Amino acid sequence: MNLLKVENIKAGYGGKTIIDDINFSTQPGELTALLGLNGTGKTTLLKVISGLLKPMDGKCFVKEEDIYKLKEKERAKHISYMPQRNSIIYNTKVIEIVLMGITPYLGVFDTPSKAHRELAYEILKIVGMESFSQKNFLHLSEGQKQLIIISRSLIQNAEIMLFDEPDSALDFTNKHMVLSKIKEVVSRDNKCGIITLHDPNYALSYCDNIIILNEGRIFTQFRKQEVDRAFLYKTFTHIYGKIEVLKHKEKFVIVR
Amino acid sequence: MNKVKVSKKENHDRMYLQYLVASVLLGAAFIISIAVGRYPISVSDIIDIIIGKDIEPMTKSIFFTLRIPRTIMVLIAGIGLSMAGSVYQTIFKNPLATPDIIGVSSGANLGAAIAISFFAGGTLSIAVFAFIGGIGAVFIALALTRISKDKGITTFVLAGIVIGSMAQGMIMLLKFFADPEKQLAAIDFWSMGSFAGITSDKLISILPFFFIGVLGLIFLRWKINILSLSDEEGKALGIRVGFVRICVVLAATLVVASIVSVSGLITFIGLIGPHIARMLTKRNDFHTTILSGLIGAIILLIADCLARSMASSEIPISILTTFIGAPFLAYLMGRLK
Repeated sequence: MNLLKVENIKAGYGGKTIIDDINFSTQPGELTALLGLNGTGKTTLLKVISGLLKPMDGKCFVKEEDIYKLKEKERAKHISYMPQRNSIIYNTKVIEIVLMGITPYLGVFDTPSKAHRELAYEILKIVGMESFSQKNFLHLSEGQKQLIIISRSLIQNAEIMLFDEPDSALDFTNKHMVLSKIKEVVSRDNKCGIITLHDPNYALSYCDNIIILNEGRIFTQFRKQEVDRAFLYKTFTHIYGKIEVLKHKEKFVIVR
Repeated sequence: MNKVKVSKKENHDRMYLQYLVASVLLGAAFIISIAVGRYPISVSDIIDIIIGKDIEPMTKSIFFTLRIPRTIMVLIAGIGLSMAGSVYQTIFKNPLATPDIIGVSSGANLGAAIAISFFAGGTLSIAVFAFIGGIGAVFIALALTRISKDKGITTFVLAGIVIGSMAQGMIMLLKFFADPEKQLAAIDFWSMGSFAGITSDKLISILPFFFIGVLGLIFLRWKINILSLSDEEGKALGIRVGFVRICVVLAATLVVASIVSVSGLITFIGLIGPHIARMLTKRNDFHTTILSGLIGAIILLIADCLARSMASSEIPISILTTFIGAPFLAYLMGRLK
């Protein structure tokens, strides 16, 4: 069964088309990378899938349900979205930020329960930030902040998890840690993860599928296991210019 | 795990301590406010009245008809304006937002000016018109936000500025044609705020609106929290951002309009209370909003005591809150990074 199915999506802002003719679907337990240069519409596509941006044309289904027909609250139970930058400006405790992810499961006038708090604490353990649960979010490093926002996505417990460059502010070690966490959760809980990335090497290391956008359209999409060095060389040369594809311990590495 | 549990507890203890200290100070300010005035009431008199002892009729009468309604009114005004300020600062993502950001004060001011100019300006008609003016201005501002495609907070702030300016223009027009001896002075005095004319009738008539507004804010407390995020994050977390924001604005408007309709304009309380509360709690959730209310009430009670005891005639309350608030704002400027 396709967990997520994107059909003929065309979208943009203010009448200007940014992405067009987007078709793909994903299976449970798979992490899909959206690659492409700046301005090719990766974030736009992610916003369309999240329901934040209504497409000009086309449809998007989660488990056969049209996501544009769902109410915000129902949609939030199916799709979580992590923006490039968080927008927290006031002093707030880390655990309170994580708890915001439980919002779609609360009644109109409810606040999170004690059980929710314990759950938030358990989720923080997954990203290794439990000792920060009572700390002020604004005092954390950018990398730590990303881990907390990822925790917020995790507690939201949606089948579709969208991540807009979650690694952009992280150091080398944390990048690998975060991406492997994302991969781990996606495959363990049979979710469908979609992540925009800049570095094709991270996509090749952690993702099962790769979709490459070029000028607002899907240039190519492939499963990592099904391709060889020659294909990768041809594909990535088209996008990134002159590159080399090396093989290291059964993995492909792209260098320039 | 143990360490974290301990720090969780400490955090709660700290919060309760802050509530406790604020409540004690508030209680003290409340008693002082009942005692202070041209006709002083001693603490032993207050105790005698509470336990039902016989007491000089004059003292009793002043206690029940003047001090109690006035003190309760100041109390709820401080709580309401500070809570509304705290909520607005959260949902408008701007620490300097005040309760009149989308025109409630200007609208109330215009309503009062209309009552004074055309309806002889009895205190009841002023209160009714000010209330309608305050609510009406916010409704028009909300309607105005619908003409813009951008439903973000900038549109709300702009609509507030438009409505506020229109109201100010009309107030100037009314003042220009007003009788300088009576009407002009009355309009000006109203905009300086005062608790001098508070009666228990006025207090009782605004209480339902005040409580509905405050209850609305309490019910929406978690969503107010989520509205402090960007609209996109809020939507992705399952909130109907536009709709909830309007609900919060209406609840806060009910609180502010019910207060200013009987007190006139009161400056700065909606700014000072929340800032002190945030400095103390180092967070920005609904506990901070409640603490804001308590702190705002303490400051306003003290300001009102000064207003009625500093000079031979009563000083308008906004003069005092401005003299407290403006230096405080300068202090905040110094703290900005």
